[in-house]
Amino acid sequence: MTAESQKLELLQELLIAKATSGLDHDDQTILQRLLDEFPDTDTEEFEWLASQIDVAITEPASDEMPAHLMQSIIKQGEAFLASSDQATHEITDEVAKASPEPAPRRTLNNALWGLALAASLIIALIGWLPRDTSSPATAEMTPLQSREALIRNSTDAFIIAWTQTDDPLSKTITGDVVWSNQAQEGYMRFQGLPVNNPQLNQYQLWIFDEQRKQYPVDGGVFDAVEGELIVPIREKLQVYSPTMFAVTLEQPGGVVVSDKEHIVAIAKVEAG
Amino acid sequence: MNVLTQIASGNQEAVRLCVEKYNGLLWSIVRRYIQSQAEAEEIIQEVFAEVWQHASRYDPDKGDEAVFVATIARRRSIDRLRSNNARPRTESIDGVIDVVDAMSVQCKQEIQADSDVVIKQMNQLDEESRRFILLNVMYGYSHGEIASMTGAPLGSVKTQIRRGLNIMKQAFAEAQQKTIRGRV
Repeated sequence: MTAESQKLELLQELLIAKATSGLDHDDQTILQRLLDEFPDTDTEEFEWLASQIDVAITEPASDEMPAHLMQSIIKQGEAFLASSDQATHEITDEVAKASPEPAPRRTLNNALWGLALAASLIIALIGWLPRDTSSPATAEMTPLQSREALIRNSTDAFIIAWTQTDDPLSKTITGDVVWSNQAQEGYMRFQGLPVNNPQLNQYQLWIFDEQRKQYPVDGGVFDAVEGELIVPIREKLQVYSPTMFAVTLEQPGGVVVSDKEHIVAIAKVEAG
Repeated sequence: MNVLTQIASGNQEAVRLCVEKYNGLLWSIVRRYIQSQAEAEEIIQEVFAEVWQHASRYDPDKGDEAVFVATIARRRSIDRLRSNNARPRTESIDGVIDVVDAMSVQCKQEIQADSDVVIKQMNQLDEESRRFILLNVMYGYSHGEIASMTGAPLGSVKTQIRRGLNIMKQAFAEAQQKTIRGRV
């Protein structure tokens, strides 16, 4: 057997393992190197084949999906499609209208924001993207690349989808927040965040921490742009045990405490 | 128009159709891997969330909708299993063999042609290869785990699974060619 045919055999074994039992970090690294060497490889064919076998053979589970769960999934799907349909150009006017008057800074009752939360989807993607040995985030990487590097290289990063609020600015927002406690690093991702005029208002992130009961941690201010937006989180203090991430619309430069006039997105960390 | 294409075009009514059509299949797949009901419920929500997001990626020329959504469910379940370092729910090895022995040429799902190919090819494999493939594909046991469970050499497990799946891959390709020729 030639060296090349041995490599191709190993490549197939790893692709089969990826499609059936998953790969550990070392095997993912080997797979990536082989794929770099054989770039024309169909990386999904065994995954598809395994699914074809599964679909043909799968027996019904001994228990059924709970009815309430099915209804919840349907509602989430309908809400997802509905939010994807919203036009964004009219929202920019609403953002301008919503710009707050310069106001004295007021205390936030942060522990009891009292929002009616739709079910948050915790998307744990740690094992989904193949781990690789590429360099951790560097100053030359784009925020998107840095975000992906954090997901790949972190052992504790989690991803939570944004939940819309009752605020009119919220209805087009989708996306998620990635956070790693070990790295003290995170990224917000938005689609449909209404574009703001930085001279009138800016968005500000707040990180609620189990160990900081009085006030949330200021995660920094940012501005929205058309299309997908990736924003590095610039927390001012160490975050120990995040329970919720929230985005508000504030005066330019942000505030020390928010008056909660415009809470546009939240992402609640599920316990456990 | 298939359900996923309708979802991709923004038809909200297709969401209910999709859940009603595939909840049984996807729940069965997830529960086969995940012991905890709470965790399974979490994963199934993630699966459907991904279906909504990526419905536009479905290519009918590549295969059936059920296989597309099943792929998402399998990925999520396998990744959770691996990240938890947990074991899947399984019957005994004898139970797995019972499943195979019970297979008939009748299709279990609505995907007539593909199921025929799977069942016919699985029945043509020798018993040991069929056992290895089922433990690997259906229950997520790694090659090393299968070698330990069955007492077979690791190299033999890898080779038989690889060869068996390549045979099935070839059979699917030939079946697809026949379908394409039949359309022309």
